[in-house]
Amino acid sequence: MGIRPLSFLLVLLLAAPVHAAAADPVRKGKGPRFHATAAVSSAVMGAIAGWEWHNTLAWGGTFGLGTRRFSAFVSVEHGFYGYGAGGPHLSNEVLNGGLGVDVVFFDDHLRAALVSGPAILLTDSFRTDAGSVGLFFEVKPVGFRIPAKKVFIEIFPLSFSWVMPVVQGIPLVYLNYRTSIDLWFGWGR
Amino acid sequence: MRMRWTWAASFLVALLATGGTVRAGTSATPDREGLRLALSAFGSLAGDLPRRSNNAAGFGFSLRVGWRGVIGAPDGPAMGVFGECSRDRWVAAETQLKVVSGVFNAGMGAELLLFGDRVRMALSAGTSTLLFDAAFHSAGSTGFYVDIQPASLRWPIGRRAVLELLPIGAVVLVPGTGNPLLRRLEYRTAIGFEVPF
Repeated sequence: MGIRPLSFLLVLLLAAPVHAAAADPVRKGKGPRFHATAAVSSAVMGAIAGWEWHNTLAWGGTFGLGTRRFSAFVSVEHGFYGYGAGGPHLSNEVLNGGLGVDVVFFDDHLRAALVSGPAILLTDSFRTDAGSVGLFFEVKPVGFRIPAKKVFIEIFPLSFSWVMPVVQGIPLVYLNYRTSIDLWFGWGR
Repeated sequence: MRMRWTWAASFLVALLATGGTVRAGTSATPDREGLRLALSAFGSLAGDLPRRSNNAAGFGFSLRVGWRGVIGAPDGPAMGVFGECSRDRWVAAETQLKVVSGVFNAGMGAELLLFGDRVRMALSAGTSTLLFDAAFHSAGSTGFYVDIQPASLRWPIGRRAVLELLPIGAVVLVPGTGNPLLRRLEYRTAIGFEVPF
């Protein structure tokens, strides 16, 4: 897939829910509002199917500011990654930081988010010492939001993350399709 | 090529701008019960081969025919059952980049529509038949597949059709069940249309 179709797909993913939310009279879209999340993620879908490549387990959180529909946030995540074949072990640790944007749509039922920033290797890896800084990128296209009193429990069935803590020499890249669950707290107007 | 994509982009943006408007509480599908026909195209960029890198790319199209009914209240969730078939071409990238015939899948599944039919969840399974001679399996080898579609987003197009976008779904393909097992995990993105008939 070339750049044009890929960028078109991204525009479609982002623009279409926005349009749907804008057409909804229930949405007020007033702010500002703060929010914070605490999340755990894992590539459980692959693990259930018996794939041991690129295991991952991550925990982290976000803090953001925005309207009721859109927001921007900072994200920090501590991830454990499998090194490859040979068993279900998690040998490398990476700190993923970044800035993100999100949109809540379809009557508060769903949320989509995009995050990008640096990925810092926390453990010595093959030919690379801890401290190497690379890139982190994650697309979370659909998350179900389940209201529970003052918080939302959010489930993202499948998200795509691209973690590259080593970019020079032999790159270290982890491509993950992760399942995430988080608690979303919001306050403000 | 550029002109083609410009037209495609303009067309879909126009659809979203005009037909995609839905008020809260209304269904995304005007007629919620009955038979449905859907055609979609899908692609998978970074799938998984067991114990190897993420290089199981593929693309294809699928056809779905099913029946859907409403559960409980008229504005409640809808459920349905369907039969489907798909043609999945594989991109081989290990020694040289080429497209191979891949597999033909045929199966049945169940679906659940939520939030005024704006979101569709589906699970299906069936047979997966290899269409080319692989290293340890010959064409015609038949196994199974399981397709998990956790959330497809849906927008009505006019009075009858629905545009459906699956951001990410997972499909386990096992066309070769003998030893060694031929299996593949694809994470698909799909876009398609559904119409009643």
